[in-house]
Amino acid sequence: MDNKEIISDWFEKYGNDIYHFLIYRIGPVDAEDLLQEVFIKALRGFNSYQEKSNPKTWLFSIARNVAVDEIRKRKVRKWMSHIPLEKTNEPETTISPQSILDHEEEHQTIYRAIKQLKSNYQDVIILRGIKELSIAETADVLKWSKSKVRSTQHRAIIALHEALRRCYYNE
Amino acid sequence: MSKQDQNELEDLLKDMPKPDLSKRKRNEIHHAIMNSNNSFSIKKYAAIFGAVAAGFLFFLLIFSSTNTNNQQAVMHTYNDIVKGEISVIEGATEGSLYSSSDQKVIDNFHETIGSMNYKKTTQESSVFEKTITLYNNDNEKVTTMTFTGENITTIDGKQYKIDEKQLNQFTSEFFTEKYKTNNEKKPSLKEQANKVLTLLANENMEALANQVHPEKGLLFSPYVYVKSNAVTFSQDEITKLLEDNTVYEWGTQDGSGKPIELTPREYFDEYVNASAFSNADEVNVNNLKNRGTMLNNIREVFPNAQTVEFYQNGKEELAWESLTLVFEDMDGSRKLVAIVHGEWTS
Repeated sequence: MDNKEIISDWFEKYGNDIYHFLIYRIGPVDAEDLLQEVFIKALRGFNSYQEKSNPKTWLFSIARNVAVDEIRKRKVRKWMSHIPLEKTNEPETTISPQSILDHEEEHQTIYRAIKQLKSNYQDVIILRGIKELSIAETADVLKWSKSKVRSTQHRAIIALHEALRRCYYNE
Repeated sequence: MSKQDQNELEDLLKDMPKPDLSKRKRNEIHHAIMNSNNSFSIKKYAAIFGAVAAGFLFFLLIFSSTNTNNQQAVMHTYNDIVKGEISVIEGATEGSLYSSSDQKVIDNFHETIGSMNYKKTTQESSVFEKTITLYNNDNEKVTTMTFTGENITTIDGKQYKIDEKQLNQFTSEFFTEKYKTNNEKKPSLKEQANKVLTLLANENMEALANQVHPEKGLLFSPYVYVKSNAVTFSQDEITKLLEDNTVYEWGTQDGSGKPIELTPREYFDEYVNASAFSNADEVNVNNLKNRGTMLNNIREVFPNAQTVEFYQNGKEELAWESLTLVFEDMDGSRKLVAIVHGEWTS
């Protein structure tokens, strides 16, 4: 198989997994575009992929880098746009997930609460909690030790619990 | 948070919706990936789109700068930026650094650059280099703006020509001594922490008050999990703290759950006990460790803080104790914001 065939195969197998990560990490509107970017990056960077690692965690780690870049770009755009444009030029960061997620109110609230967490917590909540990656897989994606995954997950759950409490309180 | 709450929350997360891509979108994306090596790649499209968008933005920027008075309210809503840093490199002389975390200064900075005229240019200059870097809460660079002479400024790598008068007004306001970081041998974090420890041990409260953050005051926490209602004293109150006979509630005792009701003097003896750490077994700079079962949330409560933990093994097993001094930057100098005690908890 050449590189393209392998990536095509991986897209079939893991495309939706990466898509889910991006929905929760970046928001549903940009998730599709960024999904494309993740696989294009994977194709271009295929030579850096090491056979011994798992393609799924490799793709997740690219997705995470793409998400971090996207958030950084949004911040710059936001800064540039504060000058004259008010809201018109701001990238939409608070898109209602309603269109893509379902209408279940509880899911909407949890989605909003996750978005309030700091980025490390979001990563671990999405990978471990929602996508149910193992501790070893999550450690591989985030380049953390397993014990860091465990302790960060523990703190993230507490922080999410607190964020949810605040969300419900404000509703 | 109970174990049951935790399990319930974990179950809820597992049940969060995971919608799949539509077949049409899936095919579209697959097609785009497979064709991404073609000569006219998506990246190029993006670059062109970006250039057009930037041009449009600056058109609007120039357009709108004719009416700046209306924009000020908008700019104040931008609160992502917490620190501005100004660095100046002039010829062979050593660069100086100016820095401010004062929100007023940062707002003022926004308003001022928001009211300038910008014209895109390819012209470059290297007469001098004065850079303003803005940081967000996570200490990440949000943007960088460099002035290089001949009225040229570079914003995130792109050059613009600015109006000379406005530029002069800008530099005279911001590149001033007022924002200059105190370059007179700022003590290292560890040196400063040792000094604070000595002041605490000697109960030199007046000198300690000088170390305290003038706006945030000083927070005391008997355990490494800092509660939202922890006792905090202002800089002024610190001066006479040990003479204060009021009984405060400092938290609840681990285990018994009883309130810790003590006067400041009693609290100092029991939960600060600085002299015990003068020969600490470990001094950990910006390295918070989880010891024992209790969660250490100092990072969460003070996300921008610098910490020094003094740690004492203790003679018996589980008799360890720690004292963490938490500092935050304020206008270039480091100020004490919290004293957190730690010990083995059940």
